[in-house]
Amino acid sequence: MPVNGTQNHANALDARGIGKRFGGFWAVQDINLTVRPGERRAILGPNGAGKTSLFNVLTGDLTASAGTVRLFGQDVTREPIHKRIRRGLRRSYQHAHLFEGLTVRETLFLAVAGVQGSWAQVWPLKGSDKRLAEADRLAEVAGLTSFSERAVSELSHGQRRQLEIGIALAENPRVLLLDEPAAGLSPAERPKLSALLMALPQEVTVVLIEHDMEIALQTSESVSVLYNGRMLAEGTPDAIMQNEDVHQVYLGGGYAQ
Amino acid sequence: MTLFFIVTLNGLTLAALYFLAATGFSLIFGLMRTVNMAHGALLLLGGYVGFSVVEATGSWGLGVIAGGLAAALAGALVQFGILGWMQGDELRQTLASIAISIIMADLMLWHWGGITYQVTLPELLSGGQRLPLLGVGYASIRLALMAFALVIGVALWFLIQKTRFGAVIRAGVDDQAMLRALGFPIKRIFISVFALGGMLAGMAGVVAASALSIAPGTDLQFLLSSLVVVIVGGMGSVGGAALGALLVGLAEQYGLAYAPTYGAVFTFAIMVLVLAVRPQGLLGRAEK
Repeated sequence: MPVNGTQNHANALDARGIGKRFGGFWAVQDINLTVRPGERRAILGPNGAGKTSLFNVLTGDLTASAGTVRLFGQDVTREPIHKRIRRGLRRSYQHAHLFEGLTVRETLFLAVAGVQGSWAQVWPLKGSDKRLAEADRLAEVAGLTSFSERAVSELSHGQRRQLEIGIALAENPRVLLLDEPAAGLSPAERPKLSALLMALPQEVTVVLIEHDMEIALQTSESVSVLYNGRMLAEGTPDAIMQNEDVHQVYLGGGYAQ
Repeated sequence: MTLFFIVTLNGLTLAALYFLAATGFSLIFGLMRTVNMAHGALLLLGGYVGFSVVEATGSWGLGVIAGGLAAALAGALVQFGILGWMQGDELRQTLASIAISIIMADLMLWHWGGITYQVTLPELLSGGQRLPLLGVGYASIRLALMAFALVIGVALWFLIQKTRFGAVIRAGVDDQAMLRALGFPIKRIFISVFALGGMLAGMAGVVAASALSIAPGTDLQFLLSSLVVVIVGGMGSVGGAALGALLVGLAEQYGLAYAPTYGAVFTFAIMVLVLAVRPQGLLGRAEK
């Protein structure tokens, strides 16, 4: 491992020996995960493999029981989530967490304000403001411009997933962690999400948990497979498709035919 | 008819006071899911501090501000020093806040003693007004109390619905985890909202000590009324607290005037009815 400053530019995300314990149960154990800047990585694994627990440790939603997490070379293992956000980390959740009572515009405004760490402002939300302009830009990227004054509770499932991506893109993210962005989407809505993911700026690092093999393999250049809380295999999509272990535990042996 | 008007005005006065007391309680619950059983103690602290400041300075306005600030500070300390460490563990927080409430009540008894206090009113508010349309006279301080509650209610509505900080609060009421994930320092936001809730309680305490009086036990009386008001109106909304306070205040006064034996029954009958038919409260949103 390099000791000099070049390490700062080496990896977007560098997790070493990550473990997360709930009582006597290790949800994940001894996980090493290295993601280069700009890399598109998919994380696969059957239910209960520990994918979301690993995400929660990487983002700071949960504190690691063991190991270290580095973001662009900086040790963030003990940092709360709002500090990691300022370093360029963004995440989405498996089950859409959105503010039902707010409009799309207000939600995106908060996404921008949150990254900037400004919240104690008691002046009105309306008016000309850089953050509102940024919110409108995000609505456009997420394909929701015509819905920006709608309440979040009125959006369709697919639009909610688009909004989540819009939130994650606030203020130049550097690393996106997306937890099953396509979960619950209809086959008709999936290509739209795929296109949105593939249109992300090249310099943004994306790590996504995905059950939909097609989206995962289409949008990612490398794949990590978790099983029973441990790393089972890593490699290119092709290598993973050929991997015997992966076939055994995840694909049930019959996927590649 | 005069009796009816007077009783209605009394009901509205009480409703105004209940609203001031309950709205901070409701705000804190709405955002943090904390049932702050020390809310009554914050109100009483505000009342006592307000009384002492009015005695020392002779300024009623200064007393209201000081009472609000003292309770805001106490509320922020309670959240920062104790309840914030058990965030997410609601039962523990509730029990801890009961302990805080008892300790605060004892400390206040030690400092201010067991006597009843009434804040000296400024000249402007000390007399009565003859109301033109209703043809009855009514105490100025009570009319001022209603106006005060109205102003506070509108200001709070504006803060929550129209401002940036309000958008943060509304978002937090919907989903705390997501607010955190957006990068908001949730601990500091919680402390601020606790201070805001404490300030409302403290000002209510000074106003209560002016329109009525305060003494040991006032804390529990207002805690209970706040609980009933937010159960009826719905937790976590300003409008809910206003509606709940109106219903409870009026029911209490009509009950006392027209069916004195069963006066207290009306309030709790309303509460039981709401719990049975609409458990989230009249204006509350159902938990998902």
